[in-house]
Amino acid sequence: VSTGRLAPDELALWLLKPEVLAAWAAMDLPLSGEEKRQAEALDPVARERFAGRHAFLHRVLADATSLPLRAVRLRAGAGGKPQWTEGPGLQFSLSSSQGWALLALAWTPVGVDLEQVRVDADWARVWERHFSPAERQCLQALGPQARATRGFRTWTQVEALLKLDGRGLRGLEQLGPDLEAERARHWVLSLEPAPGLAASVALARAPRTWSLREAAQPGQSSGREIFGDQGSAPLLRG
Amino acid sequence: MDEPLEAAYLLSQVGAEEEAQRLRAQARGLLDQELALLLPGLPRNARVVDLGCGIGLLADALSQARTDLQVLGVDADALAVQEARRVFGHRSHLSFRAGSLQAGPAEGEELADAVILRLVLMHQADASAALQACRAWLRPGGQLHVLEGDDRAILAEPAGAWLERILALMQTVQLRRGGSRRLGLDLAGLLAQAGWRPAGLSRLDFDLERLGPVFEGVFFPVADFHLKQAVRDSLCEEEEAAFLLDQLRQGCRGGFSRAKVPLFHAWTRSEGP
Repeated sequence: VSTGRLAPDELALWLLKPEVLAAWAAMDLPLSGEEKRQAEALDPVARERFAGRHAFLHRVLADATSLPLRAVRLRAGAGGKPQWTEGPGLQFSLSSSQGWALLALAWTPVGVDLEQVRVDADWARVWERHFSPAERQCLQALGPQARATRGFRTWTQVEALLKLDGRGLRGLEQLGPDLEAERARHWVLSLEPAPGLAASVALARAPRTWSLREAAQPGQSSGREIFGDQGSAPLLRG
Repeated sequence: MDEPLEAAYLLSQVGAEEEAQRLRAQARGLLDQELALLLPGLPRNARVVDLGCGIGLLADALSQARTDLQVLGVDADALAVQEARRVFGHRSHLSFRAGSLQAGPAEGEELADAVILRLVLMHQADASAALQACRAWLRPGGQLHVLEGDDRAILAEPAGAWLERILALMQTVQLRRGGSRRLGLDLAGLLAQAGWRPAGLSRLDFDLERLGPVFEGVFFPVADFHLKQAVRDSLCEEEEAAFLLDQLRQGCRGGFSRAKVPLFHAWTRSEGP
């Protein structure tokens, strides 16, 4: 079962549900030394989720490049971001929240962030510090649920942009107020596959085609498409 | 003076009273969740234009949920606008007028901070042209929100080839009428083709458990309308249409163990400050 090769100028996004993540964790695929070190530092629940999303990541990287699974070896790159340094140049970004995970794959640098929207979270203070006055004013007009949805949406855009260029959260102080300008300079897309899930993906420029698919259990055929832009004329498909 | 304008979908065409009743049932079941898609994105004190507002259910719900908004509903169907005014005409921050998307705002009319196109593209012969026409309604930097379903993403279990057949016939009828029931999955591509830069996409899957009897009341009449048209267009025999509708009715009344009907939402902003 293959998750498919990745064409140049293509962006592939995979959403992993908690139960799918658990099934991939149970595969017990061999991870790289750096990943094992990272996993060991986690508590058991987090370690299982880590193992699940990294097992899927290895499968997708191998399929996208038509290389054997054992060829995929990840190391900590700039800012601790795991990279396939000896690979053929494929880039990825991985994010997780509350048992869900989102993986982005492209031949150019990519940043992705996923958050489960929490109404009761103490995020308002973070947003107050990092969002622009205009964004804060928008949030104030909203009820609790809509405010949480918008706040996390904006937050994932910030994180996706920071992960795109490897700045990580250390870059937050510079970026927060300039989000509008950063959004204009890059291709940033917010993706909310289901109520309660906020995600964003950032690339330097628009991909030719992209899709967000639901990751399938190991051994099952490729999951359903959630969103896509296949670059064709949809009206002609009938 | 309000004049009836071009539209592929008119209340009078589909049976005004029954259709208004169906739309109200749909709103009761679904509108809360649709609002949750739209509300987070709308700027404070925004002037919002609901293009293709029909009998005004979404426009009213928006203005009720967010009293800071100024909402205008516009529809090419004079009968629908008349009904919207009759029911919601007394509300403050909410108004309705007849007009077409393609004609743009009326002379002297203020430009919108946000335009909403909900289940409108599916009735347009040229979806790309309709998306381009939205620019004229928006101030620079204004937002466009598009909501569409997509029959390709409907999930129903257990269902055999009969459901595929129904959906295929419905799409053929819709294409002939000038429109498509298969746009939601490709909204980002459609926006890009029309020169917009998509900013975000969200997806809701209404499920049978939550919809309950609304599912039959909302989806069945639409299928019924399309299949009768399919018979008139000689796309299928009357006996087949009756068999398909019977299967669907049984499915709606408990035959489906699982069913999901998706709604896609894409938003973007016009260039400018």
